[in-house]
Amino acid sequence: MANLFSGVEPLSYSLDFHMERHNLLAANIANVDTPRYKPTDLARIGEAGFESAMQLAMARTNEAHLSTGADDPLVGRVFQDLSAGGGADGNFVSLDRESGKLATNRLRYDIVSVLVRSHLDGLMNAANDRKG
Amino acid sequence: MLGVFSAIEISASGLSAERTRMNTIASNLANAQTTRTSQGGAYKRVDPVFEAIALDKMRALTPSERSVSMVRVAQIAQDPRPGHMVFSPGHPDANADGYLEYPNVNIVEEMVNMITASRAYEAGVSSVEATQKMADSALELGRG
Repeated sequence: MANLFSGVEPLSYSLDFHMERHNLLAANIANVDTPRYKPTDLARIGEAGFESAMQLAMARTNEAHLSTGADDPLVGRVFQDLSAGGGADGNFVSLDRESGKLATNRLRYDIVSVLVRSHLDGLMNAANDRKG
Repeated sequence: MLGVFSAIEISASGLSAERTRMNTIASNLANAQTTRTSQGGAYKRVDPVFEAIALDKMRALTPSERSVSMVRVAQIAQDPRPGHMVFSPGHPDANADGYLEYPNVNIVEEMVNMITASRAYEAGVSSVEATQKMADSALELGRG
């Protein structure tokens, strides 16, 4: 039997993950002029990524349905992202890449929080016997 | 735990560092023709040296907490390059041969640094804004 809040829990882990990643990306932007600084990023552990967490939140309407495997906490793995290439001072931060990542990450955070909101609204609707 | 406040703190360290860079650039530009300083001789241009510093040991427990770093200005370094010499024997700061040393400030170089610094500052501001918006959407969850 699923817990009343089992739909919200994976989403709250997702919010944590995106806030954590936001901190890493903000640190990269802060260090855009620091010599020899290597930017870090956060990757999801396991196959269940953002999309499958979304699917779980949106599609899993019945306990009998198969789980997408996104129930595990969304903890991340820290890695150095050196794909932008280094400058003469050994700094590997690309301002454009980091801003892009930051904006995408923020959008994901907002989407997940809207989903949490609608989940909670649904529960509230049920609790109030659909009267408001 | 990394959250809204740590993100703002990290971005703020970047903003403060870039502001220091702007101050050194302003100082270099203002003193582009200064031939007399308290240390003697012409003004030498200065550069801030940025350094990445990890969060305090007490707070850095998880791998991601250990990997985030703030930035601070480790020192203000003087540029050792020599300034250009101009023959002007009448000048009170000219040397015995009548040559006057002007500061090693290159206006174009300072302008380029200024643009870089202001872009980095803007990027820092937008990351603070993003943090605020994220906090707003988290707060929305508690409303209604």
